[in-house]
Amino acid sequence: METDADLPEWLRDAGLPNMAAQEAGEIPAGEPQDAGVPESGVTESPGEQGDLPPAASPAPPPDDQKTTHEPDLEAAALPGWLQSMRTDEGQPPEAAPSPEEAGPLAGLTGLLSADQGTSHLPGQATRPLHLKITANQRLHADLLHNLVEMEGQARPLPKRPALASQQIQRWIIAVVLILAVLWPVLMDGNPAVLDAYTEEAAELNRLVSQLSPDAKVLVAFDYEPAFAPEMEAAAAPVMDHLMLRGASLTIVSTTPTGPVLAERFLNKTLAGHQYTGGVQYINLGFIPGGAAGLLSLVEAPQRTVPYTIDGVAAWETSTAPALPPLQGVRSFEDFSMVLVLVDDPDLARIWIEQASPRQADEAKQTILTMVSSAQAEPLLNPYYLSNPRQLHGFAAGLRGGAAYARMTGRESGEQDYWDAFGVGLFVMAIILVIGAVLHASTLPGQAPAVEKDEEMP
Amino acid sequence: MNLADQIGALLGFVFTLLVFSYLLGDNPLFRFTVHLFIGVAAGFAAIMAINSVLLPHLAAPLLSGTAGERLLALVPLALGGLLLAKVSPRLSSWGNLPMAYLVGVGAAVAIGGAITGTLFPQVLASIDLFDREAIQAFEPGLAVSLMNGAVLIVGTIASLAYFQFGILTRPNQTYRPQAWIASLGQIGQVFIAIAFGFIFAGVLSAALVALIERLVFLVDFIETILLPWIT
Repeated sequence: METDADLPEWLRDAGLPNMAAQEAGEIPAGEPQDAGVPESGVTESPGEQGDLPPAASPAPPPDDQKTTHEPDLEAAALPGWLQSMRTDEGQPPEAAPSPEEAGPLAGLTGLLSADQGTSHLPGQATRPLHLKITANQRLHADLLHNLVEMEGQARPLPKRPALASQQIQRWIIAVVLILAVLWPVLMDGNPAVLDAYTEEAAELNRLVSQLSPDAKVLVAFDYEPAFAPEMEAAAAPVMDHLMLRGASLTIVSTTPTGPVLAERFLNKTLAGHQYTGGVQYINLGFIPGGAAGLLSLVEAPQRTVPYTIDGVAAWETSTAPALPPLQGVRSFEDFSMVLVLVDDPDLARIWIEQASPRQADEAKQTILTMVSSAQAEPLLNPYYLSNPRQLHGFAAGLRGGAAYARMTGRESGEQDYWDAFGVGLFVMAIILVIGAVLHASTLPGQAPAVEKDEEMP
Repeated sequence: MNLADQIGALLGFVFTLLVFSYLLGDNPLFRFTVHLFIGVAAGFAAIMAINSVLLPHLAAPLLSGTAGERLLALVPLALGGLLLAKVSPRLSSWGNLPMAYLVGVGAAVAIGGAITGTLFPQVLASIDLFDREAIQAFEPGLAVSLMNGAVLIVGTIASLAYFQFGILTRPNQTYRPQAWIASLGQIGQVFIAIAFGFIFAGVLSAALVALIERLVFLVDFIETILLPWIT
């Protein structure tokens, strides 16, 4: 038990001996102390006379001590949030306990409810708090308090303009672009010449032309359906050339939708060649695992894709011969050419990284070629330009396909899109220039206008 | 055109218009179409996984393989089963083993491929740009080739300098980037902007071809199916 004599001098100077006495039970809790400690129990830092409302009030004094209050003291006006923290002083007495209606205690009276146990913790709101806050902390506390209060208040939504400027821009661009693309499609004029030429496409054409009849070619359909229009337009002349030369095609894909896109491409776009599944081409389906799956295909194709998409054993076994497109093929190097139809630059890079180290042995070199989306062209160029070449030839986008078609005399398929493509690119360039000029005109010294609905009220 | 093709064309026509309705703003029809495409793609991917992976690589060896093949097939079966434990928060730690295997193998393949397939060959190719014998063997003009090589080397180094964020700090000294690295980084910024512009042009070109294909499809559908059917 601590007494006045045991207290340090600084504590006695602070006027707190009574607290020690209170702890000893000599003074009831909540009795107003001397002037050194405010009644609310809140003390502020020196020099900061903030009017922060008290966080908690002392417990009400016993009835016999209420009469000792000085009559000139006014009752404190507590804010609502503090009032809600007070104990149930002044509340009407609860009604007579009713018997429990449900549960294992049904029929018993005088039970403690769970609510009482949790909402009235002993000592809550009766313990004096001594908060020492700075003015900055009080500012933040007030700000937080206002924010919390604002959350509960309904605010009318700001009125938006019926037509936002961005929406109008979107409509204008769409209408202009659609009209520009439709104009060559609907109007029967003189078709533009396919004047595209790329060195990569010429090299690809040379490689396909040098293939022996009945060459075994591995074709990977690695593009998503959304890119099918561009990929099919670019790949059609190359695949047409391959099929005219009588190449046997083995089809794989590292994307789940690739096998069905391959079937659609061969049986719709290139239906004129009448390639038969299992005879001139086989579809080995989906290769899971991404880069690891590709490495597995390069290392051991027979283990990686043992069956066709129809569930037929594709490779030679001790009991059955291989299907015609795979006869004589036992490893990845036995393919005369690998042609990857790919839209994703990263996927194209993975193909090169996993397949090109195999080409170091020139005696067993497999030619790696690609038909890619236009967006993959920047990444493929370094592999094509390196010495020795890691990518032996490629055609990128509609321009690459048009170049290949022109070199091989297959303009008819590309011509459908070429005119609209040229006009569309021209209009897009104009729109980009106009947008850049308008944007640049708003840049110097002008901060973008803040929309009204983003402003703080 | 048979009945299935006609139904397919009609669905394509309707869904194309629903996607184009996004021009009027985000709306339920557009969202329905997008959700439908995502659902169909997910369902198709699941079927492909079962048909091309689980059945030939797991079910077939277990049911009709030799004793050795059955024993080997138990390994992916066990690892796959442990991976399913990731669904349960209580048992998720059981899936750490197959996850570690997948991540380890994936990282090893990716890093190995990047080093042997990109890093070394591309560095060697950059060196070859200044190899006089190699230039004379493949390129007609020595001066042009050297110029190309110089631009490539400057572009590579300047681009790397743009991403130089390392600093040497000393006590009581505020950091200021070295002037020559900052200048080199600004040159690199130009090369990076050109590369991004090239990629952006490719993306625009791909999107334009997709738009052309859809508009040509709509015109064909109206001319060959819709108008004859109406008249």
